Amino acid sequence: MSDSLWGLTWSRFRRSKLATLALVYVGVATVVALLAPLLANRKPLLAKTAHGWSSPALADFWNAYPELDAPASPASFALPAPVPFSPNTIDLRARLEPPGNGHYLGTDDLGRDVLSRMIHGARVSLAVGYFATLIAVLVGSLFGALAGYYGGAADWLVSRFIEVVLCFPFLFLLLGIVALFKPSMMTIMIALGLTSWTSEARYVRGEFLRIREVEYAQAARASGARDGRIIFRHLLPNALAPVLVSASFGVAAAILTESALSFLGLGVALPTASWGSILSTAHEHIEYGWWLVLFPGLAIFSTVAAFNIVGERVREALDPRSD
Amino acid sequence: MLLLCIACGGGEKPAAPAVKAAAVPDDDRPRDGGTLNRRLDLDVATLNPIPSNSRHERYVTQLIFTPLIHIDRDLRPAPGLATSWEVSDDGLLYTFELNPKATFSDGKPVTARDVLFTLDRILDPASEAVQTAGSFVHLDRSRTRAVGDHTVEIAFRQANPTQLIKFNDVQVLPQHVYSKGNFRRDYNDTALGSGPYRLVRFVRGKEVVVERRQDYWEQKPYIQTVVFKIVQDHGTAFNALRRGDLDETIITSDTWIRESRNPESTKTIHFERFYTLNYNYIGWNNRHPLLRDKRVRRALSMSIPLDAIVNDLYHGTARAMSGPFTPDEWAYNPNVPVIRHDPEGAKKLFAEAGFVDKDGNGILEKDGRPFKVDLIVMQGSVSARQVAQMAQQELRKTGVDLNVVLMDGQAAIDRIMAGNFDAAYLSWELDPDPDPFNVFHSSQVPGVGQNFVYYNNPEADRLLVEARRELDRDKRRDLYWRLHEVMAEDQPYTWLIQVSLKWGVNKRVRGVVASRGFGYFLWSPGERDWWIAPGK
Amino acid sequence: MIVYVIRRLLYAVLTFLGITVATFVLIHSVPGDPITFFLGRAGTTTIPPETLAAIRAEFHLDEPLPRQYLHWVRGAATFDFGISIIDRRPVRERILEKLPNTFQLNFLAFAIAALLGIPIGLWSATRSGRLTERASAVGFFLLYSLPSFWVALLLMQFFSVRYDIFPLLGMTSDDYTELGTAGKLADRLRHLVLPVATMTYAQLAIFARFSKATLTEVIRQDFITAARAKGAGPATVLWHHAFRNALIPMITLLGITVPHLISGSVIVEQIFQWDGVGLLYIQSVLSRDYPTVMGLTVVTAVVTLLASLVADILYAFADPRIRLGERA
Repeated sequence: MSDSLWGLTWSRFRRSKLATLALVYVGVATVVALLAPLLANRKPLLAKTAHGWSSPALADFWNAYPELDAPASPASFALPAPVPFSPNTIDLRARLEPPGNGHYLGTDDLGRDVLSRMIHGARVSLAVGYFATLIAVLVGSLFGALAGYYGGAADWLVSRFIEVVLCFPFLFLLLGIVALFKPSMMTIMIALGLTSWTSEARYVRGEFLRIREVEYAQAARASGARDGRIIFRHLLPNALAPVLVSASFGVAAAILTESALSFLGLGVALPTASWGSILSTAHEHIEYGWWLVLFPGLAIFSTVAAFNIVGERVREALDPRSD
Repeated sequence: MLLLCIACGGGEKPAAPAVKAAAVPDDDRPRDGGTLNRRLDLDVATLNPIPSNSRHERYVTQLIFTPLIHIDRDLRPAPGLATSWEVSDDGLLYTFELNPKATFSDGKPVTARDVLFTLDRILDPASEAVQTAGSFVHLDRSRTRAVGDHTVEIAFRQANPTQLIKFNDVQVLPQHVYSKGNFRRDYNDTALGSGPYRLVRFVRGKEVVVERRQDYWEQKPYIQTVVFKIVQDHGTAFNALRRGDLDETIITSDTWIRESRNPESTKTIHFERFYTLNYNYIGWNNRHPLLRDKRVRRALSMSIPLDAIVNDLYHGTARAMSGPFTPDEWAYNPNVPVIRHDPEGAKKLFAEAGFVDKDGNGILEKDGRPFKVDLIVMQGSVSARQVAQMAQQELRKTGVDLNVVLMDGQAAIDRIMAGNFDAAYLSWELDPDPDPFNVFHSSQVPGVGQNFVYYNNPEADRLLVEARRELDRDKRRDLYWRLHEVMAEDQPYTWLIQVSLKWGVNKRVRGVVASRGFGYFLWSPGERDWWIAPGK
Repeated sequence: MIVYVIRRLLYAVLTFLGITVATFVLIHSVPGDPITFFLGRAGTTTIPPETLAAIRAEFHLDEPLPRQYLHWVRGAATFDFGISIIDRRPVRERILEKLPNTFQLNFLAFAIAALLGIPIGLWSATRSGRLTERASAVGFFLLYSLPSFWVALLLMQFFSVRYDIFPLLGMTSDDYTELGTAGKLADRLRHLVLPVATMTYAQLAIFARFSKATLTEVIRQDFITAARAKGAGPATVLWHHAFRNALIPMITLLGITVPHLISGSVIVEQIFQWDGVGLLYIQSVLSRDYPTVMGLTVVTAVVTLLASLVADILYAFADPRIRLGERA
């Protein structure tokens, strides 16, 4: 696809205010996730101690064990982080406190600050969303490309395989993967990636079927180019647009699935917060902990909605017939 | 029991072990009749007491069947089907005299042959008597026989002081009923025994209804009908208790904390809590290179603030453990102190054992290996998850990276029982007469017994073997008190807490008494002495 | 045409076998098995090895995996899916007694979603370009993005905990057995409201979006323009041409949604403790009840394959150009 088409798509995309807003939201959420240790941390952003100026919060980026609370050296000046709580600091005396009282969004059943956990949870949710989708796109494109390019037996096999994956007891697969390799962010990403590539595969396959007979592919083949070269240099870039759309929906779906898994207690390792795991605490305290239900759910919902809106708009913008 | 402690609540300061329910006025005399609505928190898989493997099923079968002997309020043997018994001096031969009046609910008398039939079913691997077969592996079937209609001689190849209490698990079945068809498959939905109640109805996933036998051969219980309702969710169960749809239910620690002082609730509900023979612990794999040294394990224990867990998480409704026995048992050595929370002391001990933080990242290392340990926690247990995360936070302060791994129950047991783990957060449900041989003897490693932490101490081995041969209670106590000391020193586990079970009972139910270590049920007379006050 | 149908059917059978093999291998390779279930139940007592061996033998767990699978297939061929490891009842019986509960939930959710969603979608398609159309499009999207477990919790919190309008969970009240027929029906309906609402909203959004998209597509096609050029009124055009042509993709959608309903009900049943196959599935997975898991896999696979088969065949009927190989 030529640069001008991308440019055209972009200008069409921008015509929707809502989609632009959603894109901005996605950007902000990503930045929040990246900067989480600076935004929510019980250690100050900037501190002046006997050893001079330092930034204990910044140091958490490189600290392999940021939860470790080393006794802070007395500071003569300290600039606290916007949310002055670390996500995993347990305070049993502040269990299940409603919003206010220093904790903007309340505390959970171990007295941990919910806002701080949500900010750090954004890292998990978004990372899982992005990387699981990346895996899904890679795997899906591979299978889709094989099926669409070679057709015949390859296509038949891939199509059957997709059907099997679609009917597969997803929960068992995830349970198995989590049990075999310890629950961690990596495990979840891989598990989600390996179970959600089917729609990408279908798109790529369809796109390949459509374009493999068009002139430039024929020409490339006639000039003796190898299959791999044709696939990667000519066909794949052209199939990129629908994959992009499907990837955007994919991120939304992956975020949703991750939070559902954490909600069921099968998510990332403790004490790492994810939006779903905060919600699962809420489930246990449904009778009074309304703040545990409302806020993390809102975060999941708005992020999923934003990715869906962006994906939808990209689809429309790529469709030459729409507005 | 490894798995079953999901519902467990908390405990508190040593309460008198068996308190007469103070809030229940006993002024008027017990009355006959009425319906008691009880709660089961899981569906009943089988009503056949031999393959049954869970406590809530036992609640039901306890009323329909009669065991050879009962357990009384102080966890001592009491007459059941057997009115008396004799144990030979060498502890190998048990002679039971059956109650000649005893009949099954179909009117047929209970005979010695029924007892033998039941023992045979327990011994038959095809019955899958997972909870009882292990107690009768040394039974000598060739010398076990019926002497007349009402006397049974049961012989063993090995003496065991805890054997007598195991006859509580022999809930005698009528041979003329249970000998037909496939024993394991055909008797899950029916039940016919010699207990005070007979089965009226069993609707899977919904309820079990039993009714008092008119022809019961012993003193009849007061209550006419008992309805066991299957209510899985604790919150729903508590609401049902408040509405009066249930008369009793176990409640969670959080419900207890909120409701036991709420006048709305205490108007109709009697709240009580008691300690059972259950405790929580972290089992350390004693063969693990980082955990092999007992100083290390002690330092790990010293890093965990049990007092904060007891007071802040459980609001005082739990108590700290000091070793392999619970405070209500005679085997518990009161002179062994609970390990105090002492992070500084822990750091010193770690240093002594050769752990130092050379690279300054806050995590100790030894021989270049960082102190990283995976703690398996079974998914689904809220309290385990909370305590484990506390332990994790506190251990990081002393330089240990404890990685909490939530696993589904089966995967966790699979790894633990194979000894393939670093550490695990678990709980035990102990037997009324203690014998921790299978759990701590060095021969009982995975594949043989339950010593999956690979605890190995020759002195402990000797004490365990001697104690299970010793028939004299006082001598056994001395041996176990010493064992308690030895194990507290070795810390193969970090013994954490005993969480008291919390119960709510409708105040219309009277005569409610808890037993030492068993709570309301599974002892005699237990709920058979309950009665229902007339409604207003 | 018949050849095509037969071929599709053959593929479906093949895929079905593939699913069962894959599931079988997977459940047996996940750590933990029925034995660990009993080990966990035994507590401090050591289970004699003979007892464990007897359990293994009863469920053929002591045989090589291919043999175990053959045992299973042999049974499954006669609709005998074995007995449950937990309560020794036939798996078929266990599933059949839960299916109506799940069906109730799904059918209501599906029907409400379709009855509300399709008209809304069609209506908004006719309002192309207007504000209401765009607003409804955004609305569908937001609905679709709502996590069901969150909605469930919010509904529970609001309607049960705070205002006590609907029951928190379960299928019936404690006093259900004492109620009269009308009381029973009312009680069941009250319990259905929250779970059905949870399952409906996303479905509704999908229906609305899809029907809108299809109709918009059809309207753009040439023959509509032609019909319009011939002087047919807009209403006539819509009814006689557009809707009819939008119908086929709609049927396809119904086919695609059915399997999702089943998998979607797992979480809803879990949260609301709704005693259906979803809850049974989770419980069976967690207790490694292999026969029940296999039985449930068969049910979901059959439903999914049938749905896609029907959809494919309908497609082929509607459009003869479609031949095998042009659709996955």
